[in-house]
Amino acid sequence: MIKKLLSPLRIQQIITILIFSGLLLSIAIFPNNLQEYAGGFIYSILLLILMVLLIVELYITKNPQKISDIFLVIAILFVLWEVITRFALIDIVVFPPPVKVFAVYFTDYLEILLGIANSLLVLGSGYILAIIIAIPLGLLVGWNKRLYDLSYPISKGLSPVPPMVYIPYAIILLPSFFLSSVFVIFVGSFWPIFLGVITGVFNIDSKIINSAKTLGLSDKTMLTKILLPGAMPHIFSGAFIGLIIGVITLLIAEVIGSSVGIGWYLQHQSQFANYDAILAGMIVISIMVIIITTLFDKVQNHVLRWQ
Amino acid sequence: MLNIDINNISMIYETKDSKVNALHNINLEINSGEFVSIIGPSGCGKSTLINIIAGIIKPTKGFIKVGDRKVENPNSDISVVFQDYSLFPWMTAYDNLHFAIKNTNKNLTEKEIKEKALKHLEIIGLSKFSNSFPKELSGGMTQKLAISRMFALDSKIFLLDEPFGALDALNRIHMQDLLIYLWRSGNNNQTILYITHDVDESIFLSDRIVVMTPSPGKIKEIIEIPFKRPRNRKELTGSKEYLSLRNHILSLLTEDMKVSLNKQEEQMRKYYD
Ligand SMILES: Nc1ncnc2c1ncn2[C@@H]1O[C@H](COP(=O)(O)OP(=O)(O)OP(=O)(O)O)[C@@H](O)[C@H]1O
Ligand SMILES: [Mg+2]
Repeated sequence: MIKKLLSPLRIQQIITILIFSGLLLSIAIFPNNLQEYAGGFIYSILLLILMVLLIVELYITKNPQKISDIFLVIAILFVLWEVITRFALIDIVVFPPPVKVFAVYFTDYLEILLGIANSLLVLGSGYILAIIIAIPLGLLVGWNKRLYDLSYPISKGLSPVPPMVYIPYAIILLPSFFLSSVFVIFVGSFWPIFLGVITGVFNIDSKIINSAKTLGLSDKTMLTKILLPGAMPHIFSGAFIGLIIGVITLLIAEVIGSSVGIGWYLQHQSQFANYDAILAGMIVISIMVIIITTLFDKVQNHVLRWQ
Repeated sequence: MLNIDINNISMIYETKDSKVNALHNINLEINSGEFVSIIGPSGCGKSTLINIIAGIIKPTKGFIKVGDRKVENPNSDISVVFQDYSLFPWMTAYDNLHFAIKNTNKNLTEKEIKEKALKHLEIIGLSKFSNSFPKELSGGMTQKLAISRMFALDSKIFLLDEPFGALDALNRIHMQDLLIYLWRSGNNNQTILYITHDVDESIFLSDRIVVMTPSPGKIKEIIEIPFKRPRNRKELTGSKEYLSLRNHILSLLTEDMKVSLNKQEEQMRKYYD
């Protein structure tokens, strides 16, 4: 009975919870000014959320080992962070303690939230535009030999060009920086999606294509009901690469020329050497990316559930 | 009901550095409502012939006529079950039937399509699996579904390329019975061209058997199967006539094998000398 209760997995979960609780305690003991109180407050809320999340996830997940491992690693990272900064193993100005970093969310939350909203708007517009254009175009090109022969060498030449190259032109030709960033992200994510669609069409089993042909389908049905779903696995791999390139392009564009967005926030703070704000911004960006890619995986798993 | 006229078909596959003479001057007339099997060793061009009849590949020489129509493109009056893969993996069992029925019967209402799809699932006993994807079905269930989709299409001609090749003996017998049941219980007796490796299967199912030989693919002999339908598997396999037919076909097939084995042996001997 006791053995069953204290399986290695259970022990690991208890240790994780204990670490989180220890971190919470240490926050309560050490604050020494108002800013750190605010930071400590946000930090403890985050830790509490993580603990609740761990317990809830453990109830609903099919893979408790994975969840436990992830949370244990998070807990250890926080401990390392705490230890490194408390003993000043790295210059604390460059690598500030958690309470300092989380205090940034207290003072700058409006700027950060607006920045994220703006970044997501730009990313979403460019990326969705890329999907809407790349998929039908890719299906046509993958299906039509002549179009393929024409566009393959062109794509081969253009796809490796870093999208940032287009920034100066975009800024001159398009009326606003918003549109320029959307355009650059569009270009960056377009090629991987487009090439993914073409590869996807090529990789559909010829027996499936033949079987579809014997049904006497119209061209439209052939494209939407056979080629599109058949190519979907490769479309998703392309779209994932496109998404990552889109995020990178977004951040670079914002650092280079924007006056809004989370990338701009980082750039702005680094001019004043505000390392706590830089770390805070980096955490926000990684959380944003994690949420976006998790949503992406959810959609992919649902659409490709037939595989 | 439609007949198939295979007229002097030759097929040469040209690849970068070789030419394969897959079919050479094939002539065959298949009457409407007839069940014809093609049997022959691997590589003798059976799948190639089916693909040509279906209009999927163009022959190097000769032509196919189905009724009065010259076959140039795939058309829904011919439906095909391929060697191992005919269903759309991203559609559920029900959706596979629904999609095929909808696209080949343009004048049915949505309700009629639905009823027809459900009825066909019921006939093959897969109602419970209507929401399963092909990957979630066993090999036998998948082929059942492929066969039932074929019958749901109301085509006049069915081409089957070793549809039961991957099944175990018991399932195969079950599927043969299902095929014959569906074929004979329908109101329009379809013309069927059936490819197989299995001599017993070909005798049990067919009105005529076409024996082919490889390199180049040619018709070696056409054999009439005299047994009346409905056929009883037990009685049939015990009869003298059946055994002599079976021996005859087997010896036709092994003749080729002996020739090719001899060739192989000769080559090996050359290689080692
Ligand atoms: N697309 C192709 N390109 C080149 N050669 C091909 C092609 N398809 C088939 N062949 C060749 O044509 C010959 C006949 O092939 P086919 O698939 O028709 O044989 P089969 O009788 O169906 O064999 P199996 O019983 O193994 O299915 C083989 O020698 C094969 O290598
Ligand atoms: Mg074959």
